Amino acid sequence: MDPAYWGTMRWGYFRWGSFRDDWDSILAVFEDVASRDVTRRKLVLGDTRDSTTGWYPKSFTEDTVEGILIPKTSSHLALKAGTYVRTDGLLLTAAGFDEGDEVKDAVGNYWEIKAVREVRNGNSFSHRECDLTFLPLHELV
Amino acid sequence: MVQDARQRTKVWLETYLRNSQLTKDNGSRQASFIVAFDEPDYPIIKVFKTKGVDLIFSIGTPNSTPIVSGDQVVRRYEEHVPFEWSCINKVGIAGTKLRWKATAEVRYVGENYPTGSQRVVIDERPNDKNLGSTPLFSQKATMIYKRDTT
Repeated sequence: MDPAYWGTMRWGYFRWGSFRDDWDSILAVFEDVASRDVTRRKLVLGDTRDSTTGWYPKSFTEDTVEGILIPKTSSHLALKAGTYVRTDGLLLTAAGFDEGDEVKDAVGNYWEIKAVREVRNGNSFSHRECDLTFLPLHELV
Repeated sequence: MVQDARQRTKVWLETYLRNSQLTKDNGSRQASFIVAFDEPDYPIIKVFKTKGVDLIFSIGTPNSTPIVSGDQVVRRYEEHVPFEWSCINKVGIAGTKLRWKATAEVRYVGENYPTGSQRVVIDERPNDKNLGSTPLFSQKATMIYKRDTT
């Protein structure tokens, strides 16, 4: 189970399950960011392949997760978390993402996950850094 | 409408590839494979991880050359169709071994079923890639065939 899931189940100062101190310290750095939630769109491949192309049909399941999305134009924000933006954008999150998943930000822009790196402090999971590609024509496809 | 050269190649491979020869390391359990067009709009690793597929034959976009007769009319086309086969290491599958089984099977199909469109498989070469978390064992080749204009 993703540690972030248990980490979000809090009662006051008490928390269930594993703790997310590393991730919480990252979130604290971005306390003044307007939105710390993004829409996660998990890529799902269907079963019946296209008879011509042989490709699997794509679909997405959506939910809301905590995450800081930093566009390339705001690279200075990434430096606050001790990292940098390699592609069009960077997502810092403790939620689970895979290559091919998508992210919708607070203003309705879509981004595709191109690479995922886990950040660890020793043996302890902290968060994930996801390289993003901006999808300007998302509404057309 | 004239059929896509990739579609013809896909059907050719699906028809003649022998399931019994594309097996896992123990030689008895069959490896799962698919034939599809190249460059799907999702990561190839997703297919290996979530669809139970062990081997993918993918067909690229062809180069085509018209063949003009003496009376300056296009009678046929020569299609150069790139295709490749790829696999990864899995439990019970050494990717490099399965890649060779697939290579041998492509050779078998090319040697035994060239007729119909006079197919020849040429320029077979390795095309391994590093996907970060795993190596992708891959081999690519080009199939040449001539077709009429219909």
